[in-house]
Amino acid sequence: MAAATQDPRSNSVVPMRNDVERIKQEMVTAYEDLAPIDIADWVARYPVHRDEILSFWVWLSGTPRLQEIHEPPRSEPNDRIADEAIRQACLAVSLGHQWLKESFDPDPAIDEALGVELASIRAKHYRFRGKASKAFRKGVIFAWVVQKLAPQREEVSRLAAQKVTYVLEKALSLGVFTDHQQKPLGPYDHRAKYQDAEPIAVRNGWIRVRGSIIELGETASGIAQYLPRYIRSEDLAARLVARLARLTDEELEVLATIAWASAALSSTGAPVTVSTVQAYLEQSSQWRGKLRRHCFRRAAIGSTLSRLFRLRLLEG
Amino acid sequence: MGLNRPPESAGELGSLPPAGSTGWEAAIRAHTGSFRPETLVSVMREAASRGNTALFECCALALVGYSGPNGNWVAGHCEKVILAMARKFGIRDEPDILEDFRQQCLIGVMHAIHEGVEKKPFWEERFGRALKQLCIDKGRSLIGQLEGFEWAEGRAEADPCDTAVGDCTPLENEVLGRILQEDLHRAIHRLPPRQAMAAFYAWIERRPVGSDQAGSVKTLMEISEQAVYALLKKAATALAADPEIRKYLENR
Repeated sequence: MAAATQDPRSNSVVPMRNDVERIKQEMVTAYEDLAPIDIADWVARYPVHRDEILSFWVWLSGTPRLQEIHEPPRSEPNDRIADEAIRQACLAVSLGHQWLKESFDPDPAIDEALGVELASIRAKHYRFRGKASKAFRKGVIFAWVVQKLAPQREEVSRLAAQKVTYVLEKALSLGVFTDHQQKPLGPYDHRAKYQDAEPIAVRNGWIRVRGSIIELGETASGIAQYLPRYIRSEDLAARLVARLARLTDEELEVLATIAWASAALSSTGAPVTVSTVQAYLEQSSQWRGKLRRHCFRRAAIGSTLSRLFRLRLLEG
Repeated sequence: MGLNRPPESAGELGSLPPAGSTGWEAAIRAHTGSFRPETLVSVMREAASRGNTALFECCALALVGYSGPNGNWVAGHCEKVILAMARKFGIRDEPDILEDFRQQCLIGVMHAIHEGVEKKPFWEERFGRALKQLCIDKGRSLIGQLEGFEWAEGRAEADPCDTAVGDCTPLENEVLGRILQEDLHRAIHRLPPRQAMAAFYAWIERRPVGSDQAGSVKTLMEISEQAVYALLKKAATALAADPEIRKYLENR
């Protein structure tokens, strides 16, 4: 067993003002200073953070101390990773630090809570009973998605709107965005561009189309009179779209593609893992090439699957 | 706010001309290569608050380092720590995963710097330790996502006790003693978090499992003795399938 601590501080419970980051930093400090650490004392002092402290010690224990590190330098020309981190950090100086996206969502609990609500609403039977055609409803919701994405992005691309509507359909089972097909840049609904969503939204002045960019139209405010009847829960949908709006177009492509692959695997009873998703992409002539892209590396697929599971968009 | 800076860093910052002046920027540019990392973080935050992207970039290069014309890594205060932690976690020799790990760590460093001194003061107090903590958190997250998903673990624990108390696989009794602690610890990192906790405290720290004393695994994790054994059984089964552990079973 680990040696008992010599830490003179008492074992009394310390108030919550110490956040978990500070506690972990204290643990690292104690470890680096060669102070004996008995984890039972730490969880007694900070019982609210018990699991995080226990897990953190599993990883901190046995690591080399900083003064013992003699790692040989790497030798690799054109280090893309460091360049990209610095480039993003510099952009964040001008554009605000939200520009500096971390690969992992720093607050997965939000997705988790949202996922529970989404699963709950999907479990309820739903069938649209109004007179509006599916095409019209598609136009309304498509324009609304553009309206929600617009404040959070420099431009709203067709790709972003297409991927978000695909995920929205999976999340809320609207019975509207059901025409997506497997295309090179992920699930894509060509009818939305040529036959229903975009033409209808343009005709009503809700959106304007400029090449691959979708802008809000002059009468975008008119969407509000239709939307509540078509979207099951405007609040839930808005919260989901707000989460998705934080992703880049490329990340949305990854999310939608992996959602598609995972659904296809689940439908055959196959397990959904990083490896099976990779294998699914590999056997697809259209999607095989994605595996060479950085955003489809194992870690990226793993984090995307985690996000989908948290949002309850995949059932385990 | 009162920061407990390393004396060298406090000295470096104290010797600079008034922030924002031409002399200030010139002095920083002249000394980035010799500044302590805590000093660089402080200056980067100041540069960011003044919208001085060029100075920010100059310090960022000194903090992170860069590959020189011959491909050799030049300067920097991050790379050694990141690579040492990658080695400890068993991903040092897996290029793709290592690249993801480096990316997440470096972006994490930049994120922490942009969050400012109020939220993240320790980056200006003990940079190396703050970086080490970040590497651990990124490593946990990355390896957790590669090896399985926390959701799955949560569900697995929903049926805590299909196992009789004490009913663990032979791995625990027979083989555990022969496994190099380093190999076992690395393999434990690849387990789902709750299994990893139970396995680490029972098999690495050798704590009693089911006793009521303060340091037992059951008490630490605040679960029943049966639930600990259920986790240990799952962990033993998963470890037996782990390539690093399987070699010990084959050499039985």
